[in-house]
Amino acid sequence: MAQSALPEDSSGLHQTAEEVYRKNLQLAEKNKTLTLLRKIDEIVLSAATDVDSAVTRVAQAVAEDSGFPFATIYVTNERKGVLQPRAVITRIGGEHAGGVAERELMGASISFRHSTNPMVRAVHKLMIVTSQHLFEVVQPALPIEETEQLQKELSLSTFFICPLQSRGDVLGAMVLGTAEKPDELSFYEKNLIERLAVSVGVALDNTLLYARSEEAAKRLRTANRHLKDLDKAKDEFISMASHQLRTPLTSIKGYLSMLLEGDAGKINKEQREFLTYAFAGSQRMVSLISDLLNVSRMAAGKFVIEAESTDITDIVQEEVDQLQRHADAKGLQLQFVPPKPKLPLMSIDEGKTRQVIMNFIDNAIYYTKQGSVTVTLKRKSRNVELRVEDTGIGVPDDAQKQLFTKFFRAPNAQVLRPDGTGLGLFLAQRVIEDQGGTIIFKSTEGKGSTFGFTLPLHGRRHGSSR
Amino acid sequence: MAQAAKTIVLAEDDAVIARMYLTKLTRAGFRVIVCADGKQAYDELKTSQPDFVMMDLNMPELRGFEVIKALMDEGMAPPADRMIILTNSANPADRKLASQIGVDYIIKAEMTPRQIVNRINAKLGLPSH
Repeated sequence: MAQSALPEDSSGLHQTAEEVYRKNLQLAEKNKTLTLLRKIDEIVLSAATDVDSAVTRVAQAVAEDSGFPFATIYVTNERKGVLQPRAVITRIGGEHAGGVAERELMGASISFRHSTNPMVRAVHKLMIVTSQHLFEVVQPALPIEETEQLQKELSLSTFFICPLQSRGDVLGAMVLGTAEKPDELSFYEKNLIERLAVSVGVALDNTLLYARSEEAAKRLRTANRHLKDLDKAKDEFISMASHQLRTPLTSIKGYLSMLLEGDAGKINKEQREFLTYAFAGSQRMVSLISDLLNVSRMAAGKFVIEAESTDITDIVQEEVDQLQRHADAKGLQLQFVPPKPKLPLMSIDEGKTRQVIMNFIDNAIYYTKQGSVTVTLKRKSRNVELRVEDTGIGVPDDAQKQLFTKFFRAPNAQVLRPDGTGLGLFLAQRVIEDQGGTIIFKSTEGKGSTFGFTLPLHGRRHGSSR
Repeated sequence: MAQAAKTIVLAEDDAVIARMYLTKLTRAGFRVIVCADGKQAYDELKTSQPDFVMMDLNMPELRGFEVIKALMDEGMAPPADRMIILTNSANPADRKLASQIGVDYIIKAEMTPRQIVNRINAKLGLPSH
């Protein structure tokens, strides 16, 4: 008689067993909730590539595991002023009714203008709204009778409309449907609705953020591609324009030089003078094109030294030859003191170094009213040294510091030559230093200047420059 | 007895520039064969062996580098020190290619015809003018 052996304790034990059972049930429900919430988090963390698939997976998880077999998610579309259905999932009422519901509801956006619509109210008031009629929830997007019929086929009695929000923004709404009446809902179920609304709100926020950042990255990639195309087009244009400018200049400068050299017969003193000016002008244009090409390459970060085996003595001699007539026309003595013995070939950027040498000699002639310009090229231990010394106007003390900065021009130089670009010395410094050399400069205002450079004879020392 | 005139093949499609160099080179005692496009230059250099070649880059039919490459492939290219590239191209790739071949790259607008003749004389070991 085991039962009567503990007659007094029997009801207490029964109560304890009921308590344990109830606690177990609660724990099971809690566990179920936590599992579902974790599932929702995982969907978002798996970085779904688009909003629709992430939202659909969240709605599926809710409809399958929450005890609410009908779950729809609407997302705010501010541009259109509507709540737009992005996922409709039914796990009740059979396949046919489910299919119809998903098709019909997915096509029915709810306008914010319909302030009596329970979904609009839920979103505006930020509270969970209950309705027992599906047609109310989707009014006026779907006809009443068909929607009533659909609700019947789905065996749904109650709808809970929850605003979805995160970080203070309303992102949309979620509608949960159940076969139970509102007053049949347990405390646990009511609590679950609130927790789901929070969790799905955060999930939607993360999904939308991810989609937006993806969209922004895509736009940036496109913009970057366009900029690259534009940059390429600009480069091609500058290359093409300089080629087009240089070609007629080749003829102008070449034929002028030939007239000056007597290739078309003797010329008188005045003809020589005029032709010399024309030749100097053409030479200046050639030089300007090179400066502009180099500056535009520098701006684009494409200014690079292209070293090639070069006889620097030839270059200096050729530039002195070109400018000789200009010096003669001004009554200046231009002389070149070549190195002895001959220098070996050097690995330097011929075009850019030539331009530096040309600029130094051309400046010296331009800024010297009388006297001489002496160009000296010599070996100095492991370097080659070029000096262009003139008896010109010199550079004022207070202008010397800025002389090699872009576009800077000394005031006395501006008076003598208002149209200078202020690019020659700036480029010279860059060209020389990029080849591991140093600029030589000293000047006394009113007495003259020395401009020049040293360059390593056997190429740039490793790590000796920027 | 005077030495036989050295022969120069001048590949240049711009007739005005070609005449300029032709005049200066002839006055300097060279015999000059002018080719007005890349195809003509290729055909000429395939059959003759001039003392020097002046090669433009942007020419119709074949670009200067295409002419050189085609000749190299056939083992018929003139030696690099018997040739100069004469161009106004601002394309750094062109200068790089010339450097790889080992041939001088001259921007036409930067040199007068006399300077170019002097450069050729120096390369051929002839006195300057």
